[in-house]
Amino acid sequence: MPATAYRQVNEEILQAVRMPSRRYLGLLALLAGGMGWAALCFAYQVMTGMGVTGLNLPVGWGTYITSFVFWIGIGHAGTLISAILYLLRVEWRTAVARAAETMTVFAVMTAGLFPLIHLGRVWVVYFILPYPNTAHLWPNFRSPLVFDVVAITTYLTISVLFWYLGLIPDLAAVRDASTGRKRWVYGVLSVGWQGANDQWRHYLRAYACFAALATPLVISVHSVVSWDFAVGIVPGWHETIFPPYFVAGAIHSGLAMVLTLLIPLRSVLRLKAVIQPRHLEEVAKLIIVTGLMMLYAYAVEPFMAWYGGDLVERQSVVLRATGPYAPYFWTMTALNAVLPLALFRKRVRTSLVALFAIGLLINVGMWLERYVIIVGSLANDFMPSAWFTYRPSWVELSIAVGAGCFFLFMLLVTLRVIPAVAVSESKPEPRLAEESAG
Amino acid sequence: MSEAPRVAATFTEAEPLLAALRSLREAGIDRLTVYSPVPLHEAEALLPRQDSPIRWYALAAGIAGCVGGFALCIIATRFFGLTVGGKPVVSWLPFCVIGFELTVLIAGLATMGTVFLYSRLYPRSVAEDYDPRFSVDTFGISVQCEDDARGKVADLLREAGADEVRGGAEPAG
Repeated sequence: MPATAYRQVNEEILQAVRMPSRRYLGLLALLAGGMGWAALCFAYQVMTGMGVTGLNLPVGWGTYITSFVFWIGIGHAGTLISAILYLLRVEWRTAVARAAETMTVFAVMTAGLFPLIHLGRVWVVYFILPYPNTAHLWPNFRSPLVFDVVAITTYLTISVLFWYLGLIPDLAAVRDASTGRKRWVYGVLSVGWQGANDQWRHYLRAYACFAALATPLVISVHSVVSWDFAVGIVPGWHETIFPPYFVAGAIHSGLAMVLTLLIPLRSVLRLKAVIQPRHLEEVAKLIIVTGLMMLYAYAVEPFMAWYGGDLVERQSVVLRATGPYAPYFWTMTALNAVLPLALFRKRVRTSLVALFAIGLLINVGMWLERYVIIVGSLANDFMPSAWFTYRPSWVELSIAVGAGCFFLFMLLVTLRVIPAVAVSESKPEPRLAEESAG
Repeated sequence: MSEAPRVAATFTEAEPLLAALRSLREAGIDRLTVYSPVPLHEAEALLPRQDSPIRWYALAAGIAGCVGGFALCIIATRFFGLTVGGKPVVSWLPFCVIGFELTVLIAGLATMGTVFLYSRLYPRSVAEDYDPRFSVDTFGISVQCEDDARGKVADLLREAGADEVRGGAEPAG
């Protein structure tokens, strides 16, 4: 009988939409503190100039651009789960899709902060937008940096719309379970959703359209990000493997972030019955696939440097493994490509502690990977006389950590005010006799 | 012009709701609204209008976005007059990226706009015959019919196994 099962789904998921505990509020206050400190550091940077960072020629891109690429990548898992797995009709995605989509939205927002922070003179950011002006200045649409602006804006817009569209029936469920002011707020947010047949028909069609649009988009976004580097001639950047390598890495880090966040959150939000270990095991299986892709990419890079015969490229590969950034290189290789191999063992895949630890370590590894690619390549380019070892300053580190606080803060607040799991999607289709089913 | 009166029924199972739909359609009644906590594809097959035009709007908007994306790049490069050293000023290959991104962006915005328009999604009160249980575990049918048909409609709904029927009594006099 579906009625009981349906009611249970509503009760299990909607109980998380409530006033959080004091410990939860304490954590939010801590994160808000981190954000506040980062805002002060940013203000200091704006007032003093980019000299407060560790950036210097030839390393013009450092921690900020590393964090930008990292956070864009984190968003990719949400789109993979919500769009690609939806089109493939993968059943287990329902349990983790909403949290992953929410993660995508805030990861892309976090990423979007970094080009602004890196810009220095942030007040002239509008120069990048195409608009008629008296100076006849237009963005150069041949530049991957302008591609980036368009791609990230599109990605953020589509992710937010897709996320909100999926939320509408669930917001109506919260509205119907609420009273007073809360009912009014959710009434506005659910925009008059009633679950009428007309609404469902258009909704499902629109959802499928969004999934179809988001699938090539997610592939394009990190490909575009990779062109920021691959189109340049810097040794260590100028590689044709970069687009697939970056997309695989993005999904790898995003899936790892899903594990890192969902394992504690399912306890905190009391969603253990809905987000089950088997769902997390499926995420772990996807990490094996992306981990193998990373292993392949890590192996191909030195091979291509050797096979291509370019001396500077060969030198760049050798310096990565032996130069000033060698500890980061070996750490990232171990964490991103070797550690996920442990997930081949079912015992590891089914241990939540192990999954949490692996997820966390892959995230560390993926941030280091971007650091090694960006900073390591710039620091040791064509002219040994110009080589420079970049180290991030306290301002850069504070802002990078503060951005992480912003991401977590927004995620934790949002998952308390929206259903963290899709309510309507979690309900099984009603069982019908053959005649009724047609 | 005021709306025709409605007869509404609730069901705890989907099966009797489908039976009620069949009876109503056989009786020539087609001004029906079905409420359900999950999409009910079998009910869709029994209802008069079955297709959603949203994908066509998305396609048209996507094409417009693609053309707009290329146009933006071409116009901007022509206005800017950046020296490109003998290379083509209008370089199609890089413009494909902008064209693709704007295809997706405009198609997505159009999809969202049309789903809001067609599903009448805007901040408003729910319909009078809407029951909050429809978002939990209950199915419902709302039938628009003339006063003299209300009794017949209510009977059909009850016969099919409705748990509650409202608005079935014909007005006195």
